[in-house]
Amino acid sequence: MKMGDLDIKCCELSEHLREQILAWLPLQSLCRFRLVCKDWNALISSTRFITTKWADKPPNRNPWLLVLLQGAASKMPHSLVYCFFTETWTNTSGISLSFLLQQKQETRKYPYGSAAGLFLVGCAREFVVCNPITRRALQLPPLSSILYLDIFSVGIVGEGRETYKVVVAGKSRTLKAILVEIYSSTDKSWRIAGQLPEDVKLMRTGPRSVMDMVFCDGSFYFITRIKEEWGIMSFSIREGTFFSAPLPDLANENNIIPYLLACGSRVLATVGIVKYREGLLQEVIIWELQKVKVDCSSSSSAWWKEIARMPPSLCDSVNKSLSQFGCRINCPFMSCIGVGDCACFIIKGGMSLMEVVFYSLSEMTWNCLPSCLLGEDTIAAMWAGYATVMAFEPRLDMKVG
Amino acid sequence: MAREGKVSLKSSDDELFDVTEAVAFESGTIKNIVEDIGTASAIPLPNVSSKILSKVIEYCEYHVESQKPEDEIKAWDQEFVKVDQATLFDLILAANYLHNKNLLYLTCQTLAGMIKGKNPEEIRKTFNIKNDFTPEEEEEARRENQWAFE
Repeated sequence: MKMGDLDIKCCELSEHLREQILAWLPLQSLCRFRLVCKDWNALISSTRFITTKWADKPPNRNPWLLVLLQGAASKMPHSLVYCFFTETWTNTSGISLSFLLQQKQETRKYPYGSAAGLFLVGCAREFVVCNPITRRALQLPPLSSILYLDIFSVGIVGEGRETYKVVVAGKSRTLKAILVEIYSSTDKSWRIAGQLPEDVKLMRTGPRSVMDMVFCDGSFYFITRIKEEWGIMSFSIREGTFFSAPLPDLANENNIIPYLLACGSRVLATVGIVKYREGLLQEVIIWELQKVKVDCSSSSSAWWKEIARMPPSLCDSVNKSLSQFGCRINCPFMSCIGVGDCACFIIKGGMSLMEVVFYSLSEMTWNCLPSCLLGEDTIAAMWAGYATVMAFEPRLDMKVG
Repeated sequence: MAREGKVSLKSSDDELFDVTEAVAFESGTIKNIVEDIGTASAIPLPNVSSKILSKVIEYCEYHVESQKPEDEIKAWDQEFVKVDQATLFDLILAANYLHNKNLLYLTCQTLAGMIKGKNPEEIRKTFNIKNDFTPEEEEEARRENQWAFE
């Protein structure tokens, strides 16, 4: 009798109620339940469900901090994920690049960025856009004019809810100029969107030869080094115009490498100051880009406003934690990225540790992530340069093309 | 007949429950009905049994009371949903029918917590769903989502 009642009630679950229940499920369960039946599969993979019902629930509102690991030992997890809501780290094989281009396994894959749940990966001089959750990948057509080996900066950005753009800045094969090419997922082709003024010569900036591209409000930004001075260049996708500005003075001191990141609609620059002899972190400073229209000829200028400095107590505690394991800081940050409204700093200390410190722009507070237990293989991968840190929002629904 | 400031609710099995207006209006559905026909006669709720209605009223009475610390409310809610799966289902249906958003969220979240570790076959049993994938389709879907099964 009771089982009978239960059956009847189960059938009464309307689509609306089904949605309400499924919206509370974690990603892994959601993916498993795609196999229940076709209706459930369609619902779970729909953009409407993922971006409104599921993304609405507190655990899913913020992107994850993702450390994507590649290669070497098979026992190594493919990625480490930090969730700001549950405040925990997870090792997972769920998000990885290993499904890409199976036949070219040995070829190094460079993750250039993530947006709208997709990765942009460079592999064997081609660009591939993939969704690591659905394991779908699309190889993009070749660039129309820019030489792959002469790329200065590249990135991927989501547009609307279901489409994306890939942007590349680099030297043209034919013209002696730096161009911007944009791939649109709707047009499925590249178009030349802009050309840098001729008198501007960009130099390779050193250890990170392809500069991370940072997107913010319809423009992208990357760091430049022109005549020994650090600066930024921005390109407005809609207007096709470039804009350049120097970085704050401090960035030009010796041995200081600036980093660029975006948190929502705010563009930030940051430097980490290290006492190299002692191997200690001394200071971290964050500036925000202030852009203002200056005159009626609509040429605008920009300056930077310092918005935060890491409190000495936090610096001390980072140093203490690193020295406990006999680690020294040799270069300030492995990576700096914006995750939601948090500016995150990944600090590599010696051979065995990774500390992540972040500044919350909304709460104006500094904090440390809980330590993440890293195995030897993982550390080795990080040191070999096989680890990329990104903000990642899982999007079961997002299609590559 | 309800007294002043009170609303009379009638369950599907004809049991009467007298509650204050504040408690009754936690339900959007009841609020709408009262705005139409007033509180002179009992509000019929043919979709809700007395067993479930008394649980819903218990929830509303607790939540209508003023200012309690959030921790306390959370703890009370967790105790409230410690019921068997059939009752939880009924509470979901009732919360939906009565338009009580908070109760719906709580019960749906609880059910989600109960099913999240299951595999697809167990889900089909729980919800009485037929597997309409062909073996090939199922194989492909499984390969695509292999990581979720590890």
